Amino acid sequence: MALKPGVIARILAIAQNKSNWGSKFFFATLLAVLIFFWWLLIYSGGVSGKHG
Amino acid sequence: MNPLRYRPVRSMWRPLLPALMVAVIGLSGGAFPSVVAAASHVVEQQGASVRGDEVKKESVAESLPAPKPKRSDYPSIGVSSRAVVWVVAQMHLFFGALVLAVPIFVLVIELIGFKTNDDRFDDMAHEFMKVSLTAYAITALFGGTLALSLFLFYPHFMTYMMRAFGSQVLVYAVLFFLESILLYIYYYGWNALRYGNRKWVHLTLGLLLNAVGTTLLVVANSWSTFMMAPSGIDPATGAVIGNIWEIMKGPLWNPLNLHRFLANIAFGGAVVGAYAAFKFLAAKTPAEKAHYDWMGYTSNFIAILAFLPLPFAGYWLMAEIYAYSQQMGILAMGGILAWLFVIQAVLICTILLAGNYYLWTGMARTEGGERYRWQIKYIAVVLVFGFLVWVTPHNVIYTGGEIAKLGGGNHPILGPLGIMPAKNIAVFLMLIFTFLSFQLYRRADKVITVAWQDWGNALMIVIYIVASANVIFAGVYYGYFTNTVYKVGSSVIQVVSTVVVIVAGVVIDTLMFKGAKTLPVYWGKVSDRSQYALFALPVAFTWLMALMGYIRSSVRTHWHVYTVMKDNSPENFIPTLQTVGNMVTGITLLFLIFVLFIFWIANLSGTKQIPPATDGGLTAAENTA
Repeated sequence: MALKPGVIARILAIAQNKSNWGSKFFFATLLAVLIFFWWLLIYSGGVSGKHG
Repeated sequence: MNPLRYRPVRSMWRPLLPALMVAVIGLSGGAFPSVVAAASHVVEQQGASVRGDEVKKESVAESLPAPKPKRSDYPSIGVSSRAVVWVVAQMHLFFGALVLAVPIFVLVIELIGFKTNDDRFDDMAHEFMKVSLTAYAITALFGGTLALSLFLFYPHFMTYMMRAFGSQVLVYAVLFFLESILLYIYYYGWNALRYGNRKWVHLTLGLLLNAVGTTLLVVANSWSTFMMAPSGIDPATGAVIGNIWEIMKGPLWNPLNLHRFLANIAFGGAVVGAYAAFKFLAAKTPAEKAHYDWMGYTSNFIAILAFLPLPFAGYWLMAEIYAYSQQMGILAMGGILAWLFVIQAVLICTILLAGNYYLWTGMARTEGGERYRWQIKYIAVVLVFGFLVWVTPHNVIYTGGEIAKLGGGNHPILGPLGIMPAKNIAVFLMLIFTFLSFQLYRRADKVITVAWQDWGNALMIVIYIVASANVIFAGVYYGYFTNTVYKVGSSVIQVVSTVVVIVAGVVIDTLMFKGAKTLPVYWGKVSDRSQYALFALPVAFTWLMALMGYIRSSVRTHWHVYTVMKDNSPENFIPTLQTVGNMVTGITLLFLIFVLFIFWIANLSGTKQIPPATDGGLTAAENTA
């Protein structure tokens, strides 16, 4: 179902008046990003660095 | 009896045997569920391992070895293939560094502005992004040109790289799309998402932009580090036998990731600092001057802050290169490429001198700066002596007569200054004293009021003295009077001493600034001369990146992929230092021309034409007046 024009803006406008969810959203994303980089750079499928 | 008939039966029994034994023990001894579970796990693992080994053997047999192109396999279009790829790759890296780094500190500045409710930060962050956005398209254009050039000039090499990295290159392409989408929403949505929860949404978009950008960086880094220290391949044939993680996770990947991440931020800070200086010098009103002065100060702060830990990341990368291949390490730092490290010293010292000079002149913005001016000359002495020690070469090409006069290949007094221990002492002292300049600058506009300020200052002075003494002692004693193992190890003591100064300085100052009286800072009240220091920074950074990037790539010598795929092109040799100097300088100049173009474009977007004259030769504006 396609979103009508302005729907996102309206959702944001409603949410604007609610409690401080923005900071929680930001810090949850930050945590997810940190976990992602741990996975990408350190864990990496459980493979340890080897070379030929 | 035909042994072949029994082989499958034997191989079937092998994994089942431990499970049967445990089952028998379990049945006879009662319930040992955990043991049985563990045994089943072992059996599963063994089964998987046997199957994995079979698959691996098959894939080794089926995998193609690394290509061995002949000289005639390299297309020629009448120009130097290496030069074309060199220029385009370096330009792509410059712009890539800029567009990936700027959003990192922009996000931090935006967050500071939001938390402190100061719109100046927000406006500045937005303006930084304007520079980055213009550079983004140029990055993509150079990236596309680089890919086409590589496929044109080095088709066999690219075939091998595609075979090694496979679908990862498509992941890179998807990330590039994501980066573009997020970048445009982040920039153009700035004013639509400015307050309250919407601002947090905007900050989250910035965070995702940086996450995607940094992922792009580390993915591209894996291509470079694979070429230097390949992993996940059969060392004898170059056949790809590992999965994508084994290919990516070579020994140099994370050291290069850290080094480039920090260097990009320092470089990005320096380039936007030049933009601020450009705008400052062109500013017509005091308000404009104040804005761009502050912007320039912030840029310099970012550049130097990211630059201070960079040598540590560089040491890690070099240590890993040595650990991977001593030959590679010695070629870089003891062979022909070592001469370029002398030029590196000149450039790094230029950066440190320019950064310090900018801070010293910046103290004029507040009356409180006068209290610390007397210390500048001592810092300058340390920096200049450090500079001289760092640029002293170990040996020079002498004539016979000169050698006779010297009494040997090395100068009797200056010779010991040519080796690493002396240079390490110089580098770490320069970093410590650069931090001192920072600390004095931060204190310049404050009057500390805490009761324990004398004790705090005394503690800070003791930390500076002990750390400097430690750096000198470790360098002299372990560098000249013990064997090489201790010589290398001593640099760890020096790194720790330097880090202790920086961390202690930040902590002590933070505690001492509590309740401090803040003196007025007159932004814009700074000499024009200081702005040229902001121009010097990106010039030196750009030159340095081009130079060190060349060294990093050149240590592969005549290999496309080190020890696995030989380079048989007509230019499979390390060029002369003169050629390197000319190339590196030419590329630096080209980048600076592009940067000026970007500044001009960024400026153009804010320029409005005066409406044409309507009647009697008067413009609409004049009529209104």
